Amino acid sequence: MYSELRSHGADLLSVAVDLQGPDLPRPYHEAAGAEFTTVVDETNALGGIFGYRAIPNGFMIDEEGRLRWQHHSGFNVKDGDTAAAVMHFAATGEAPGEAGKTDADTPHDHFPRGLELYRAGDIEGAKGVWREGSAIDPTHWNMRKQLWAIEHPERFYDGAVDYGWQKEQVEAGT
Amino acid sequence: MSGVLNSGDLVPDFTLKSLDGSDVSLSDYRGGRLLIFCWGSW
Repeated sequence: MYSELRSHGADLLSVAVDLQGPDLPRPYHEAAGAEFTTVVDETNALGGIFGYRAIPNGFMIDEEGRLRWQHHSGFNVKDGDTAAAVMHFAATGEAPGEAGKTDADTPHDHFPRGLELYRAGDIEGAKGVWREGSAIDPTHWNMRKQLWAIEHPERFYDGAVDYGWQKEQVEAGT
Repeated sequence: MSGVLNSGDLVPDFTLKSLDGSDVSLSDYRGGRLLIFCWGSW
């Protein structure tokens, strides 16, 4: 995968979020035969910058240093859709959900619009907006999770969060 | 909740130590497309 990224002139920065230092992640890096750079984030600096609370995450950054796509929690580059999205971005500079879309159609617009409706008590309206956004970008995890949490609160708020169920939803494409 | 940065936002520069102890900054990658992959051994 790394060689394919490089063939498009793109690069990979692997960030090990290991508060105990480099000794824990090093074996993983070496076992992967990694040619890319792995840095160690001992202070969770990137968690502060990107606002994530869980790993693994993926972020696509363009030539100017701008964030173009983010996948918080559950990022898996071996997943077919994700791998395709990453390679498409590497080759074309076009991030998921951007193809032929105006700014008003981008999922990051749908997410806050849905949130606004949700907070105003218009749950059905919020669901509609988030459904639209999820259709544009099925990899917008946060939006899909909001939908799931509304439609299946028992999977989120009744004891432990049911990650196995979430995995099934991803596989089923709901 | 979504991240604190939106698509199109400039990502603040950061510098972290690589496994061999050298400093690596986001700005080192300026001019090319980059995938940042955050993971943990735990």
